[in-house]
Amino acid sequence: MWITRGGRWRGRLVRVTIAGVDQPWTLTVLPRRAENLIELETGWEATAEAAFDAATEALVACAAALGAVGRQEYWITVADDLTIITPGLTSGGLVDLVAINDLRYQHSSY
Amino acid sequence: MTAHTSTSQQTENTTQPDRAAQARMIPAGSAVMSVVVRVAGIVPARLDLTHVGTPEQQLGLSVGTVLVYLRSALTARAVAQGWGKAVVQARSLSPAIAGRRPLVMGPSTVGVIVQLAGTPQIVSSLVPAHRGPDAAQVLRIPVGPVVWEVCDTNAYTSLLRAWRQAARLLEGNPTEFDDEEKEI
Repeated sequence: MWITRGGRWRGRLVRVTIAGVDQPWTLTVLPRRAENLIELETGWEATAEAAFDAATEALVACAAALGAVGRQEYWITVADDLTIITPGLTSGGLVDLVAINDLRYQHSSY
Repeated sequence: MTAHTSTSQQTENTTQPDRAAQARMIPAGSAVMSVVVRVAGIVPARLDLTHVGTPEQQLGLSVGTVLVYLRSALTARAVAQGWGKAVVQARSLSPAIAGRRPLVMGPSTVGVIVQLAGTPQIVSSLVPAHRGPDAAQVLRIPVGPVVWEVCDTNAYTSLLRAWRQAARLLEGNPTEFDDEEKEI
């Protein structure tokens, strides 16, 4: 969740994690030639990292089910943090699921 | 041992070995896996298209101290589209950060040379300024092996313009790489 700072950094957003408060995550997709986002899956996890992992897993499953059409714009929202993902393609023309899965480990440091 | 060899033969017969998957394997020796580039202010960009109309056609895109080589319009377009989608997050960056050091341009000052191919995955996420008081909010956009950390909207728009120009230049001069690929 976000709060705003006081003092010298007044008005700037800070992310705070409160122990014992679960973090919500949402996986949405913006299909091609569509104007609005479609919600695919949602959930709650204990930490922001676990929530991002769960959302990435759901994204891999969705992209795998869609096949070559799965290269769409996906939005992962953890608490108020937004990540926009446009998957790449392998040389076989399929969605690069390994690259999506790699996001979990890259993101764990944030 | 025999079971292992039989499975590897099976996979070779059924599917072509994936070049992207091979690139992810741990190499013998050392390899640079990723580079983080922080950009702020108006970033000078330069485009050099060489061997136009031949299979060796190559576009050199120099952005600050990074030189990106592109061969196909497909790659450039995928990156440009990914950057364009990040505008939702770029809106919450500050318009400009006072420059601490001017970026120099030219072929002799290039820091990194990257060869981009295929259709890369573009991810954009806003890293909030919560680590230290002086660590500003940045927009993280990994493109292939380069992780761009965009500090202000000036840098965002100048890089978006560069990627779009690269896509336009390569689309105007298609090679057989582009003819093979289908519309994405």
